[in-house]
Amino acid sequence: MTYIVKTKNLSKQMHKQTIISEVNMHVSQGEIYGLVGPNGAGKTSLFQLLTGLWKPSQGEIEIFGERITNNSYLYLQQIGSMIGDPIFYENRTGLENLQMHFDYMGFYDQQLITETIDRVGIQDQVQKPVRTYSAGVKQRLGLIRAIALKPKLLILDEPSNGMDPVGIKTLRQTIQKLNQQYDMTVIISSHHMEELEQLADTIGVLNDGKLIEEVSVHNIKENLSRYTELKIDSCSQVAHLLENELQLSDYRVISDSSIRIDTSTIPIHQIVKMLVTHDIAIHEIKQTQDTLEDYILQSYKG
Amino acid sequence: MIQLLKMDITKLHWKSYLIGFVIINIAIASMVWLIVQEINPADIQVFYPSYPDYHFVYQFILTIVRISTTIAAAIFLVNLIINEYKSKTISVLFLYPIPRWKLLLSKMFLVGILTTFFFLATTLVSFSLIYMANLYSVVITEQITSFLSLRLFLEVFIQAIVTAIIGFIPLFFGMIRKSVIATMVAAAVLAFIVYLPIYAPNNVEIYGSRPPISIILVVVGVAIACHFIYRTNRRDIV
Repeated sequence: MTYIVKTKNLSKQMHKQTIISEVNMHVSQGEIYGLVGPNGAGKTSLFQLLTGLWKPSQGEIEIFGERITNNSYLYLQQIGSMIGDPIFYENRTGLENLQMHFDYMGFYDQQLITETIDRVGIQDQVQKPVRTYSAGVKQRLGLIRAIALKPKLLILDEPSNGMDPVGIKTLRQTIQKLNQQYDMTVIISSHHMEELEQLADTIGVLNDGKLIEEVSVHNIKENLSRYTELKIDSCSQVAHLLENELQLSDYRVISDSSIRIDTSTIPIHQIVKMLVTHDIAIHEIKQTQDTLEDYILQSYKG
Repeated sequence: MIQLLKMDITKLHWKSYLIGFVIINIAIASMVWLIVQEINPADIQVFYPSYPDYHFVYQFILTIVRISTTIAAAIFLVNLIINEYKSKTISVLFLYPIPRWKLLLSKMFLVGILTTFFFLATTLVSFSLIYMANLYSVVITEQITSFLSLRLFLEVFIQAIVTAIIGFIPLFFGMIRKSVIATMVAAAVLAFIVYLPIYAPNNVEIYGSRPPISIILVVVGVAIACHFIYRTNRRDIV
């Protein structure tokens, strides 16, 4: 399989501390790769290594099939990125910053700038100096800068930071659209698991500088436990019935009046039927499933 | 490279530079004119027999221009390099598909060009102001044509380049902590130590800008510029 981004035993030491440790990352063409991890896990550091801002202490990075060395720079032509808080020339307007970006990239298409501004929706702000922008507007401008030239690889480090719900929705739609329309490969880190659940094809779990797991979201969803929570009067009686009548042992008593049953092996209607037959009053039935967040938290714990 | 120079040119604060340039020229011309007018020739002729002449004016202007050029170089270094590090915009620049050394070389080159231009322009404007003032109130009786020569122009040009390269030295101190103050203080100390004439007890005029010292400082300036580019090319941007 060919990968757009591939790292082999990538490590980074700084001030005698290991920040990234033997990371083997694999990002395929056209996929959205979600990188998750607690604060200080090394997500931003990994992005800085991928974009050449930091030089690896050990290991290899391969992007677009090319091995990245200390002197590589041409691969950056096809990468759009927003790493950490977006940085701009604060005294310049948003538009001037974008024009500068285009000039440095060697593109002079005014139409493309306008088009991208319209897509992210900050038309009324771009004529003002960046220092007057709120954190959310800066994030959006950073996103415009990253996507404007439709790069092959888009690297976004916690892009929804400081954004309002409308901004987050626009962000999600923009990323999905770019991914589908231009087959853009996206690596995105975020603390918003529900956002990643909707976006990502693959999740990489980073903890303490190590990539613990790389797994497809589809596989995660398949394996997430589904369970049913029942609000009843007597948990002990229900537990007794579950064990004896249905030979079910996958249940957990949450409180005196609440019991959680794993329903992946038995249909819920059978449980309800059995309880009704035994004249058990059911006050509430709630069917739930573990979320990606639960899965990730489990991964952190090992 | 030309495109990179153009991009950096747009980042400079031209209005404040122009105001600074006008002020410094008026200040230099006024100071020199005041000295030429007010000091009794007999007092200076002990050390400088041909006083007042254009050579004296030229030497005086040159000393002040060297000092102000070194400080101007530090201002350009701050605006083009130190501030890019302080505001972290350098990390944005290093994400472009342009070799780091090229980005930095163009910045150093621009600092060199601007500093050389500042030296030449300040020398020319200050000298012209004195010349014009002398037309209205004659103090220097010597003919300007007897003073001006191709050799003089060449000397001024070489001095401008030498001063511009020596002006790179404060970058070393400024980059240690990415500090504007360190850069400016280093430039001020360098300028006053190297360019201010010191009168030794035996009344022999000693200039820190004498050729052997100048050559050493030029080598140091070039070495600092090269070291800065080489080091940045290999280091992490934090």
